[in-house]
Amino acid sequence: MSHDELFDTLAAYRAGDLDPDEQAEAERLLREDPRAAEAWSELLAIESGLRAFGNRELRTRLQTIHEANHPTRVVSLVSRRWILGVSLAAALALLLLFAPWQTRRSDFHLQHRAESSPAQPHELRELAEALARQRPDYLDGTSPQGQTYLRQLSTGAYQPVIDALGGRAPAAANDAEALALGIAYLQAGDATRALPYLQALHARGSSRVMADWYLSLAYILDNQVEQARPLLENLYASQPTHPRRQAAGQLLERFPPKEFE
Amino acid sequence: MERLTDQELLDRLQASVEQQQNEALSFLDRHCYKPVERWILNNSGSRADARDTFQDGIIILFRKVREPSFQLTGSLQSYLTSICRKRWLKRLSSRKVIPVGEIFDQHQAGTIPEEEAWLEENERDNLLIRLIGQLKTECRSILLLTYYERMRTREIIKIMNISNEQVARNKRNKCMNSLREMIQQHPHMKENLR
Repeated sequence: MSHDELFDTLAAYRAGDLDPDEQAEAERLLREDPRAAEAWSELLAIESGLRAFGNRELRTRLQTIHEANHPTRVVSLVSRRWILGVSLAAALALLLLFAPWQTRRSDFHLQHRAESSPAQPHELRELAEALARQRPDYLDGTSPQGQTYLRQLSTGAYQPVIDALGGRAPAAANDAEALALGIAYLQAGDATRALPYLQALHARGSSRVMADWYLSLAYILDNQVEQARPLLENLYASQPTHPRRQAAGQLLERFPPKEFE
Repeated sequence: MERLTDQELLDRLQASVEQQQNEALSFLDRHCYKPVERWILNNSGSRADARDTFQDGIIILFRKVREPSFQLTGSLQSYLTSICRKRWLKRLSSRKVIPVGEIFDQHQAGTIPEEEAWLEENERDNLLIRLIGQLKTECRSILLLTYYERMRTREIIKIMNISNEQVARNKRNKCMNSLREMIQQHPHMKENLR
């Protein structure tokens, strides 16, 4: 039996489509034929991907249900305005009159952060540092060379990437190189050097899905927190299946208030 | 829909119709989320932690009750709460924070089987997710119903309006082969799957 035939047999076995004799034969193959074990591991890997896909779809459904069941602060504020009516409007007018510096909080903060405890800047940085050290995702469409760099970075080997590419100017680095260098410098704890590469990617509109995530971490670690905010908010709001969406939400919860801009 | 019994909840969670599943998921979200959130807030967590943990808990519960071998032996709401507590304790222990009531809760949570592997994802899965997203909708559905929902072919033909089981098997094979071809064309994936 070829690898493909073995795979088809085991896929049917996994789907519960074999009769008892065929099941017994599939189980014998799994016990005795090393090539069957290879086909089985391929099948399980694909099943793992399907499970991850299914879980993400389920998360999106759960998020929708949760938001419908637990209206956020935006709604409750609106309700209170209706209840309090003129007095609240007057208070708001006074506030605007005497506090022209007061800006509206971002949507994320209205929805998710309004009841959180005061921000701790060092916690925000610590979290960003930890997230920057996480293994990067492989990016679909990344060039083979870009994948090589990302593979190195996924093992924490940022120095060889910096050694290989560190001489490239941000404008001269291609997308894969710029992303690899941005992540490598972040992993090395040098956000200032990471920034120009990630900013270049952002400006080009290339690899935005992951590049903006790392750019937001670089801004936080470079003490430019307010530059990170819109990137994270956009990621959180518009990309429900982004692998770092939950982490973006965690970061935003720890952001300092925006009142004193 | 004010109140559902455990059996009604279970029937809906096990249903193949998404609307019925959503009714049960919504019921659990309305009745169990706040207690879980309070508990997590009292145990070194944030609201974001509560939302993530609760979502993980519901996914574990949803997957568990849809296993053919699942038998209802107690309250589904208590079961969900226990899963969430266990999940949060695990995350806390990775942060090395000792929560209030840890000994009691770990004892209680210890009765929950280990299904957390359902939630694990790795880099390969991230890329597979993108490739699966590129499949035709019908292909994606039949593969997900088979290998994620663990449905038998006789159930799938009803949901997908397919004429008979053999047609469904042929479709599934064709779709699986399309996905495998996409994987083979991706250099990094190919070496990771063999």
